[in-house]
Amino acid sequence: MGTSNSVKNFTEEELRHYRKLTVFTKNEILHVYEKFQSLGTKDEPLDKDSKISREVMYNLKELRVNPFRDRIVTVFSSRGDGSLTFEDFLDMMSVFSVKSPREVKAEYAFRIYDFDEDDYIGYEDIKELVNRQTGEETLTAMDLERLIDNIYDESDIDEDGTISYPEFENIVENCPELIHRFRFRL
Amino acid sequence: MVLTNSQMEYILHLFLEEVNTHPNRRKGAATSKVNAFIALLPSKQPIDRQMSRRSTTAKKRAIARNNKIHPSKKDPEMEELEEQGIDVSNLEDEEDVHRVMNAIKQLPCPLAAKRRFRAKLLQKEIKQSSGCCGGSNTNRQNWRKFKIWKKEMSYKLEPWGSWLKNVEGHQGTGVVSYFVFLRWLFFLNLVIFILMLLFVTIPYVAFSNNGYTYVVTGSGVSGMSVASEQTCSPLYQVNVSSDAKTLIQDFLQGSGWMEKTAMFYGFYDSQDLNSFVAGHYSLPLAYLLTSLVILLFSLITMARYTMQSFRENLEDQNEKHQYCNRVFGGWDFALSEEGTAVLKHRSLYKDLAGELAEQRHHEARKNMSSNDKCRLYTIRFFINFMVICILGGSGYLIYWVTDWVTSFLADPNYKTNNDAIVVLLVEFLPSLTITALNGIVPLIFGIVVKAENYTPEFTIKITLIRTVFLRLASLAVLIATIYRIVSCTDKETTCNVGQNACDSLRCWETYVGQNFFKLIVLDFLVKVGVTLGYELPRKILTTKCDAAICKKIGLAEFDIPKNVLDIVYTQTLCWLGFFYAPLIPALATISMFVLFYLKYLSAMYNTNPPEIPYKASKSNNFFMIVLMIAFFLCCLPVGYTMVKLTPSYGCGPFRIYSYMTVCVDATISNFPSWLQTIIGIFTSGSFIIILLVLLSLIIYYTSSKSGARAKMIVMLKEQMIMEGKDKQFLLNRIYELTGEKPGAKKKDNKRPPSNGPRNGPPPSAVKTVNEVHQNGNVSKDNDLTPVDDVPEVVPYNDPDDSTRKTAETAFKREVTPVDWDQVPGDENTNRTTSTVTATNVAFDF
Repeated sequence: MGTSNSVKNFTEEELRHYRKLTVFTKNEILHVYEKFQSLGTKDEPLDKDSKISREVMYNLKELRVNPFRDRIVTVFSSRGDGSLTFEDFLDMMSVFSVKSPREVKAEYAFRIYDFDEDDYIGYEDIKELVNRQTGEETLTAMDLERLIDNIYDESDIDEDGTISYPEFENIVENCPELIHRFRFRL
Repeated sequence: MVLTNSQMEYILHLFLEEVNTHPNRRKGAATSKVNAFIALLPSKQPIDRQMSRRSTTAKKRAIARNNKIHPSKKDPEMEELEEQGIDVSNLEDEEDVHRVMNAIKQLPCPLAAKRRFRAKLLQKEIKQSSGCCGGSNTNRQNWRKFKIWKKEMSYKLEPWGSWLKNVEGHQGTGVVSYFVFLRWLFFLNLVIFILMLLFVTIPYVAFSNNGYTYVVTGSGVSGMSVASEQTCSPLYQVNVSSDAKTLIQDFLQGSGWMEKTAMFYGFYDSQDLNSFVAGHYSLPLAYLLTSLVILLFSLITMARYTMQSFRENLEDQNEKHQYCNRVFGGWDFALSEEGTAVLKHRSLYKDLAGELAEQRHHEARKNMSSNDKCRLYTIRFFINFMVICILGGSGYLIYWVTDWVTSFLADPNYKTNNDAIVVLLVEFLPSLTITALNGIVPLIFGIVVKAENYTPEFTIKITLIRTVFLRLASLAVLIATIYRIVSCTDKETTCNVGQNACDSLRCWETYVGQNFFKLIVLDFLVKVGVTLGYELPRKILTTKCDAAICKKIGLAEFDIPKNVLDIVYTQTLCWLGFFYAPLIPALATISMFVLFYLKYLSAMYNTNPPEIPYKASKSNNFFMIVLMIAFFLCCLPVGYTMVKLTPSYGCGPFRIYSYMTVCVDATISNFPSWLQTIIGIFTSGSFIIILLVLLSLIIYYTSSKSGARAKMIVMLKEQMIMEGKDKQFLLNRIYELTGEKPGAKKKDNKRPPSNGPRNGPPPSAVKTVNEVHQNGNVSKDNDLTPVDDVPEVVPYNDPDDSTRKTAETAFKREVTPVDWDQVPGDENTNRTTSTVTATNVAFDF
């Protein structure tokens, strides 16, 4: 393992590409690769071309406790089948990096929170979002109802009962916490 | 801020074009189009002006291209890029290519797609490229690298940074704000300590030439007498005992051997230090000026801290989005520990539930009957009365105890007549009383406040205010008692020392310092005691014992307000005491330092996060204000001492002056005469009056300005709301034209049938609106979702009433000043008639 080993896995050209296409520096890319490799086992070591399945991805430290891990994996899986290649993984780390800009984070946050993938964050989406965040304890139906009302009051500008992406962008602008917390420690 | 006619024209123009060119377009496409139009609206643009303009134009251009207003033949990749809002139209030089490259980096799309874009772009680049980019680029890169490195370093070097993160993982941001505050106070005290050490203690210890050789600087300045100093100084003696028990006792009390150390005022001398490199170093002057600088420094740092948090507070005082912030920004994606995640789930749950409970509380209050209200106010009145009584009683108790202790100690044989323990207890009695009151009375406050039925947030505040009053009042009583002793009039004439009924204090400044010293020591010991003697056993009891009763006791809660008050109190003692005991800041620094680890221990292991979700930014301000009040109260006695009280003749740096400030006069009298004149002018009464008038004028000016701005803010907010209404109106027209209502159907399908409270219109209301529209000749398919634009004023639990109101509000809204006849495109499109009808409906309605 180690840095020198990882360098061998990439050509200079590849590294340059990754550097240009993500927010990472060379060292960070190698670090991400190490992280990627750490998901593999002794019997099945991972290299840059291997795909990891959804279940293996959940072993990642950040995803283990994340209530949205299935959504994250789905969103970043470029094949859409829930498996991640190294490039997808790098993509994910890049988006969750401190350095990635607000717009990108907002876009991905929207996709992650859009559980039914209809390009709107609707009633059911928010319900799911809240229930996943509160964990074992769930708000009473009445409280949930009231909460979603409040959220719509604040954000649903056109009052169509859903939050569209422009509306979500508006939320992001007014909620600095969202971007601040949308990150992994690298 | 209201949408201008031309803006609306533009939107409508684009829209009509769209409608005309794609009569049978896919629904999804139109939806995204409508959203794109929403994105175009001015209020949707980022606040940052420059950014907004750029992105708006990019978006506009992208939309325009999509609309084929400016048809262009381009590679599919390029078009895709443009759709993302990146301008690739004129890539003439390297700058442009570089810009686009950077933009690609920040696109929200998979790596593979980005690579495709890049490859395409590079192809283009090859065609146009001319030579290499040169050194400036690498320079810039190096600079950027350096900046990143600097940022990383400052992040790494942040004191206790990782500790704070651990706490954050365990207890949440509220508790972290306490630790940040504690750290801030630690550094403040450290600076105060270093200042005192550098300018007072070190010069004196290092350069004093033992013996009293005075270089009396001032000539012709009244209020200086070397003679009485020479007779009185030898009289100030301290009995130093070698008994180990007494040594420890003296250490705790600051008496005996401690009294003649650098810790206290009495240790310092009034001589000029000759051996100092730059000629004379006037210790009295240094002492006075350092004290003033410390006070000023504290004030400025506090003001800066307050302003900073105040500004942040203003920024995220976005009450409008508090629920969104909680729900969408609630989860911290960086969390990686199992236990922390469970805690986070719980705290999020509590936060949401608490906030909703508060909302309910508000509503319940609104609906309270007058009988209940009357009862509540009576209860509140009595409780407030009781609180005042408790405060008064506490004050009297402290007064009485201090008085009694002084008279007890006035007996010259008290040490021989009583046991050492008793003496120690008696000496500590005032401090003990204050600490005990500070411990017990807030508990009473905490109980009675529950009966008053305030909102959770206000409960915290009112309890805090009462506790603050208790603490400051007890300190004030202590100071008053000390003042009574110090300013006792029956004094002997030679050394100005009390006689007969008055206590004979040879060095009253040290006496004052000792009092604060004792308080700080005791305060510190109590804090250690509470952490180790109360929280830790409770933790052990909860974890080790399985009985039901043990489980019920549970862990203590990390009580942020109480903890913050504790450190504010310590800081107050430090400010009060540092003039009389120059090294008290060191004590406070140590106390804060140890406290950080103690509280870390209790935050990490011994306590649970606070039940009440704690709004860090808001309360931080409140704590700062409390600290400021404490500071100004501290300034009073210290300032009074400097200006009005006669220093002891037998000790301290001011022993030869009749007032402490005389040393400044003495120094000034040595200046050249022109400088003296200037200083004379600046310190004269008339100048100060002019200054005061000027200051009040400035205050008046700024306050009236801020008042005007506040009005402006209200006006702008109103305008914003109006703009929103305009926009909605416009959107509705657009939706009507397309027959499109994004998401509305979905919501109706998905919402549970039994959903009473929702802000959307109740079914009956919707129907009515729809019917009205149909009656108004708007030709539409019936399966379309009705116009779903009922304003939020409609109470959702009353369908009948809301129907009426819906109609009313819908009617009112039509008054919005939109001149639809002016909208271009009406004449030159096929859909003119329909548009006009819709407009007419709007006005006939």
